[in-house]
Amino acid sequence: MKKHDRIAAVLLIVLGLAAAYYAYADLKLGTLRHPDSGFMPFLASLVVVATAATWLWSLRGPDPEPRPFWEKGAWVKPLLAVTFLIIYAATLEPLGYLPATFIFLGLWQFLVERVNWRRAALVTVLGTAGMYLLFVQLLGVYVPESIFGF
Amino acid sequence: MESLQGLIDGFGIALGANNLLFAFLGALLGTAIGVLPGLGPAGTISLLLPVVYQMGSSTTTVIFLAGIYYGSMYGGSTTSILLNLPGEAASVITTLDGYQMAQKGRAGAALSIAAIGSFIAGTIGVIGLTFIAPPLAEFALDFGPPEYFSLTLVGLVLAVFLSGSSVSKGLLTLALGMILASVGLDPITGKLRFTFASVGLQSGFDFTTLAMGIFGLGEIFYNLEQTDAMGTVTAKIGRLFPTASDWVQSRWAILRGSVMGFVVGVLPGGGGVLGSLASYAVEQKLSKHPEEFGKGAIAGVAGPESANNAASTASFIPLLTLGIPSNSSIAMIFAALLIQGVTPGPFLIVEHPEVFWGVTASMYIGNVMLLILNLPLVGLWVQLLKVPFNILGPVVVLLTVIGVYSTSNDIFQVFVLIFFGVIGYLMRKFRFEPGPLPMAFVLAPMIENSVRQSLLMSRGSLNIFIDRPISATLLGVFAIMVLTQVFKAIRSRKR
Repeated sequence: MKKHDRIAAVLLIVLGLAAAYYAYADLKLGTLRHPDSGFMPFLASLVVVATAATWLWSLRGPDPEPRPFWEKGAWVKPLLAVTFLIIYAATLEPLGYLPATFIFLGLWQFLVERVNWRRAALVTVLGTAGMYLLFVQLLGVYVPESIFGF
Repeated sequence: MESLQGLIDGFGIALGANNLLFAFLGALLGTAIGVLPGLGPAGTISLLLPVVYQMGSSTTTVIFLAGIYYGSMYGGSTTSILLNLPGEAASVITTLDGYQMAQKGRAGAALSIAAIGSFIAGTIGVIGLTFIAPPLAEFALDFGPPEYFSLTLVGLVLAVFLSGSSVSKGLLTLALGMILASVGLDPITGKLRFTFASVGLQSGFDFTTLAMGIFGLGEIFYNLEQTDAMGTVTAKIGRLFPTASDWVQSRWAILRGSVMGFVVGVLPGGGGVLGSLASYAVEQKLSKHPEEFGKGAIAGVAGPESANNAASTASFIPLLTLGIPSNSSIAMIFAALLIQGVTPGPFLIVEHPEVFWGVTASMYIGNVMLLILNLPLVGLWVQLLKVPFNILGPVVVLLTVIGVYSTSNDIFQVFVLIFFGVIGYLMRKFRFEPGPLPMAFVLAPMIENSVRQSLLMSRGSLNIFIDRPISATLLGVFAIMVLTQVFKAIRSRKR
């Protein structure tokens, strides 16, 4: 894990330095008498750099327990979930709530959870209908309509 | 006397049909999420923030959300005892003796002593809240910008130091929360910060979206890696009520746990986790049979379960009197109050007495409700564990997406939600405690305004923070905390 922690710490140092530079150069720090918009973001960025550097310092030396960042294939489910969620967000307005939710739940059940097809189909159909009843019929929440008008 | 009159008025409010209903719903939902491993009170409250926009009354809102928070502390013990799987971080220690008792056929006694201890501790906690909060709020009325800056700084840093996780990671999370809070329009100069020409970012990140992403989606993405963790209940519950001997062994543990949990709970960061750990250590030390701890000692269940309930109630004191949320769940309640147009702080008791006293009185009622919900209905809560993750996961995801979309009608906010979900997932992967991030995010405007106002008041002199006695004392506490950490680090390096 130390290798990945080191990469993350370095990325955070770079991020902190970039934010500090932006706060200093673009937002301006002002003076102690009249602090400008960049004053607090600059201080916060310095804390990010200092603490990320401390973290990096604590990761010196060999890794006593080298472990992979993801156990075998463990990254697949979260990656699929994020991908399907992005697809869901991108299709929610053009397709409407019902079709987009149906597709999202179907993808989740068949490809993320990989339950047997009967259970997947049942959860997809009942889940879509149940969420529609809860949000639209019971709570009166506004959701994008499909071309069918619901 | 004033407190008693306030409490009587509070009962008048809390006993209204609507408030009773929401106290019950909060307690019910809190117990359910406490039972379910993987979805904590902060995540649940964040999922419900969009609902808060629709709730007319701030009193009812806090009664509901507070019920979820302290209800989760009750429910957290059930899976710890029956499955060796803590439903809540504050119930981790309960697994040591609770699960051992269940293996010996004494699950019923463990569950009931946890519920009774929680009830006693919760009630002691509310009594403390009733009598300590008003004078503390009165004291804080004199606070100006320098005192607020010092207090917030100490509160946030103490929350990191006491959380038990890495201090550097905690401070890093706080600083990231501060930067995220500065995105959008600077309220003082009107300048745009960190928006990079994006119209969607001009109004800044919404707390609801950030909280739902970090706690709701982040938790679900992370749990997808470990869906096999859910166990099955094999232990028999057995006789539900403790024997006379159980009671003799537990009574002092309950009282000590209550007092300890309350004291720790008032401190920022000193929530249920720290309270329960401290109580377990004390009970083991004071016990005539310390060798029984870890093998099914009932005091090892009674003390920590009492402590985490007392702490959860006590953590409302800094919120309602100083406007400082002491943990991530309380930060969500802080945000809910802001959504309702109520600013938590020393003026709350004066300007919105119905909120303070209504919520305090509802806690007395909520504790009774929880005792009734948890003891006879334990079988029902066990059934809840049979809800498979392939249903629970997508339901939570859809709740977050529709929740965010319904409050903004802007699909850009859904993409922001997914972004924070990924951040929440990565934080868990890199073993960062996500709690300090929403705390810093919600307090950042107060910190920034108080620093800038203080410097304007003093015409640029930093002495204003040490010339005023309260601010100087708080900064002294801050310096001691930092030095203690530095010495600790040096000592551990020498070893």
